[in-house]
Amino acid sequence: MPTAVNCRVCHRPLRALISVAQGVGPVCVKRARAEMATLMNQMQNPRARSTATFEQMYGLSRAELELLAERATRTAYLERVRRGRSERPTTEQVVVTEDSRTRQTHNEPLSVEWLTEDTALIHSSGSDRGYAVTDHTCSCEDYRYRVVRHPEQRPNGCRHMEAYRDALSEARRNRHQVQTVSHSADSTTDQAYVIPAVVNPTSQILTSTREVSRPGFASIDITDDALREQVLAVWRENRAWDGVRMTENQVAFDALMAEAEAEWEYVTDGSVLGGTGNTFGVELEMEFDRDGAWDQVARDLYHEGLSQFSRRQGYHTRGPLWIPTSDGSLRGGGLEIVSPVLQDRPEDWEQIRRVLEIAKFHGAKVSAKTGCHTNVGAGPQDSRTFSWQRLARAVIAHEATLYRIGGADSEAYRNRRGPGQHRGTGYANPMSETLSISGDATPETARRSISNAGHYSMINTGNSNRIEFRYPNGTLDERQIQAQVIVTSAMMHQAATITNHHPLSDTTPKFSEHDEQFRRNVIAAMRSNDPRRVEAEEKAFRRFLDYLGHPVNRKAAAWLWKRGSV
Amino acid sequence: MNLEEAKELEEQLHKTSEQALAHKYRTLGPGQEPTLDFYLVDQEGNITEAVDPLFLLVAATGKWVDDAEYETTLIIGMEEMRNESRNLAMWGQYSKVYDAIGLIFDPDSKHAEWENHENPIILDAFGPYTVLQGYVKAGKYRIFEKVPYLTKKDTTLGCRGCKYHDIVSGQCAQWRNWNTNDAEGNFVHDLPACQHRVPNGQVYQDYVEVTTDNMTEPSYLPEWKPFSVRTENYENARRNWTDSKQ
Repeated sequence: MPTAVNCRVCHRPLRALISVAQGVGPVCVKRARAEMATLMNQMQNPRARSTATFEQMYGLSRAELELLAERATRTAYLERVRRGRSERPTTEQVVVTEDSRTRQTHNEPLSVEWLTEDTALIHSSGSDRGYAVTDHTCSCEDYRYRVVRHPEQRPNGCRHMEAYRDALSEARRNRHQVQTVSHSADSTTDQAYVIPAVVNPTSQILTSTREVSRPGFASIDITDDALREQVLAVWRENRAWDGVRMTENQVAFDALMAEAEAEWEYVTDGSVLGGTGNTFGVELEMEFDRDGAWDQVARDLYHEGLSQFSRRQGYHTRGPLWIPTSDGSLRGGGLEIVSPVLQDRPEDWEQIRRVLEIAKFHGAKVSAKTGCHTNVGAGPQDSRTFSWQRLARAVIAHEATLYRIGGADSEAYRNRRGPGQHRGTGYANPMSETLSISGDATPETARRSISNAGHYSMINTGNSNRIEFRYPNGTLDERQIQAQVIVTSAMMHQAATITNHHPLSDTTPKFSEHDEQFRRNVIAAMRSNDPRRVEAEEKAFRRFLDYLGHPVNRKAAAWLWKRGSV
Repeated sequence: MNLEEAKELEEQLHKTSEQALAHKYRTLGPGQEPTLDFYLVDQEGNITEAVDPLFLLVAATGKWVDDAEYETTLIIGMEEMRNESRNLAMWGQYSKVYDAIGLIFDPDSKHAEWENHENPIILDAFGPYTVLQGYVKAGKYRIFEKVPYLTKKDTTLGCRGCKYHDIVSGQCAQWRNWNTNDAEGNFVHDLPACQHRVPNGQVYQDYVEVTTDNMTEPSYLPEWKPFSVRTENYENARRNWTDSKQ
């Protein structure tokens, strides 16, 4: 039986022989050619306004450009599919009334019909005119000649814009009523937003959760919203908020902190990351008192089958296994062991443990220069901007808390030397003071805005399929690494889960709410034993625990927070 | 929605609205004769007819002033007159643009050579009435009317008996910013400063072209002031690019 061949762009089955040979359907091939022509045009006219990067313009072969064009076509296709799914507030026509100063009439009816998600056609019954209106623009003469020129005099815009807003409110109200009715009819839907009854905060944390979903983030096209939502549903189930607010529940917080005193249990049964199959990776930086010890580590990794290199490699070497590389910021080049793409699987956790065991055997140690960059797959983030916005808001709001968590030193704490100290912001710069991401920004713009300091931001979003959390200090303790991975992964998933209507949305204040943000420079100006600082840190941390939402995530964060300081 | 889609939508809306209001104003095809009370002919010979002065202004400006507040209509009128003044300057014709209180544009420059420097064309942006006259003065349109409006000789003020005043609603078809009736629907006052009063039932036998000779100067209106006393000078009214330091 012949195997069906699907279009590489839209996944529709192909029938024509020429399409099967090309692997792309006739419509998609036209679009890909148009995209290719645009790219070629941009290359030939470098002074023209171009979205292509330098690498795309000068460093790619034609075949690579073709692949690029195909990828762009696929993204555009998914965007069309998404828009075709009708994101309009309502498909019905909404009639609202507004006064007309032009005709000196009260309550003149205006019909509002949405053409797209944010653009409506408003028909004025008094004049028989139709206008294209958004929340902030209108095509009428009053808007063009007066509102645009003197917005301060007309802060609400023209009457059509007011009608748009009224109609939008009405549409949302109607939709909410419909949803309420459907929820009451089927109580099993949308469990994520239902605030559960408060559980006993001192009860045993259960880490056994639903089996890892197939497919997970590692195996889906993350630009496909429908598939991504399916995987996120697993997170919503496995890591559903238990209803405990640490900011309000002193008993629960005290119990959690007492529990965090105990040693972290290194769990390798594939149940610590919520079952979404998302990927992660670590970059383990370490130094040695003895030159050449790094090659001994590399040799042992090679003999164990963990690496393809038997000697330390240059920075940025790539490969499918663990890679021992040098790092110019470390003494003598030190050693940075870069993991392959890992998942929440027993064998992957075992690899981490074994790699660290080998490194420690040869005298590896961490210092104020070493970091442990934790990478998490970008699967939970959407191809629009909402979850990127939410992630950026969370990082800014909890910036100082994250630095403290990153400064954890479990080894020192275990040996009663007190908590670790964060190594500083030299290679993990804080977020921009003025960061703001608008709702209509593209994901690429959002990524660039978050990584304001480029590669050395505390959150590096410059890579297409992963996000690098650069703030954690270096460690040779696999338990600490697991806790860091849990927290960073939870941050990403929660950013995709929490929306404006979610009960935990107040844990991620808006970019403009500076007073609500707990920035590093706020506490850096105070002494470590200043009671105001201690109080502020605890208050902010409790809100961070609320953001994480689930006992497993909270426990990991608390364990790290107790062992770190800024 | 990207920029191209937005433009396409706007064009579509424009066409739809023009079709919906074809009984108010429309562009005639070749061989078609005007039937409404007013029509204008542009410099390429295209004819657009309109049912009343308001839609004549819509046809002349290309802007939907029939659904705009009166202040917006005034701003549009000022811009249109300023454009006409610039166009005239390209032909060596000197003109000045005034609004109700002063000079808003004067293209004179030490580098310019005018054919009529001592006798400039005055374009008055006082209101829609004078703007339509301004088009005629500037030669942009030839305007013809069957109802004496721009050429009216009856300069009586007030709304009673005006062709465009609806006694029941108190609304004026042209001067929509005002309502002559009170809350109970009783007539309480005339429209102040109405330039549009047109005696009901008075029509010409045939279309009459509006010319600088037969058009009515609105000096009978209480708010209208002679240009000699419109002394308010707007900032940059007399500056243009030929005088700039660039």
